[in-house]
Amino acid sequence: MIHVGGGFPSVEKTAATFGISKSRVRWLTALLDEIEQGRANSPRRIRKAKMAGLSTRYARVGRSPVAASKSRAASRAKVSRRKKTARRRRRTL
Amino acid sequence: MKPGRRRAPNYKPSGVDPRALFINIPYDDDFEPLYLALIAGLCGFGLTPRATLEIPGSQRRLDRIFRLIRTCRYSFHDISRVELDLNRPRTPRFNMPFELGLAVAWARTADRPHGWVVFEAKRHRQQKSLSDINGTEIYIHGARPVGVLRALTNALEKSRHRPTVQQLQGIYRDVRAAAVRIKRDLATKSLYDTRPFRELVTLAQLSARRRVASLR
Repeated sequence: MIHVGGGFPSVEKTAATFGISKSRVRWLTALLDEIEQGRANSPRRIRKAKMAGLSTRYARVGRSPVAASKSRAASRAKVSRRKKTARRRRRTL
Repeated sequence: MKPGRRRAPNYKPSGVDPRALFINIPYDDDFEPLYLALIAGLCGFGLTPRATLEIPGSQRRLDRIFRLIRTCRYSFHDISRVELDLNRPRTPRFNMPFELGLAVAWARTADRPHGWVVFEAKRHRQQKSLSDINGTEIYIHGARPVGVLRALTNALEKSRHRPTVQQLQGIYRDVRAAAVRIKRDLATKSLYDTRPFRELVTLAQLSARRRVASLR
């Protein structure tokens, strides 16, 4: 475990140490703004799924993760119903 | 200077940056997410990561490495790349343990403090691969970015700035998104180069300043 004291190196100082021009620092700042803006403008369903730590796969096609889960269960139920019907028909033949 | 200790050549105390931290990691594609996480995490703690790849030039590589270690107050070493690589002749990478050895030697002989921390992907593996440092606390990251951030919060527990793993993940997400744009802008496939490294560190510091209140 190490102890780190002191303040924070100013970004300008780091940029100067690294030889990054002021205009490039401005470009990086704008890029960061753009990334944040993009994240804020993402569809609500995707944002909610991400915040809940769920997959965005279903949110991307316009369904909530819960709806997607219900839909999966419904389709499983449908298959199971079909199987049961087929079995019953074979029995009655 | 303590008696009995020889002063290291080219001794320049003023050249030490108290917030600079030397990172000793494998520069390969598989490690890229962890590399980004390390940059994001360290900037979240108000530190400035330094690496050999940031110094271009014709200097001998070993001289560059040693000079960087001397100018940094701390060094972080990842010794997880112990497997044989796929390219023939198949060999493990000795660079990271070698640089760790240099840092340990510097910490023991220099008359100014130098802290070193070791990271591994798998628990107990170092006891077999590098038993000389048994007894030292090894931070396990499990080869996952969130593992790196978690390991950093444990290693830097006594830091003045104490961001949460959630905050560090926010910085990591910014750095990861920016890395794609930086690669495109610099027409490069690798982030292990002078300019991408410098820009990633600068961007991570900008992001850290927004996300961690104590850094503002």
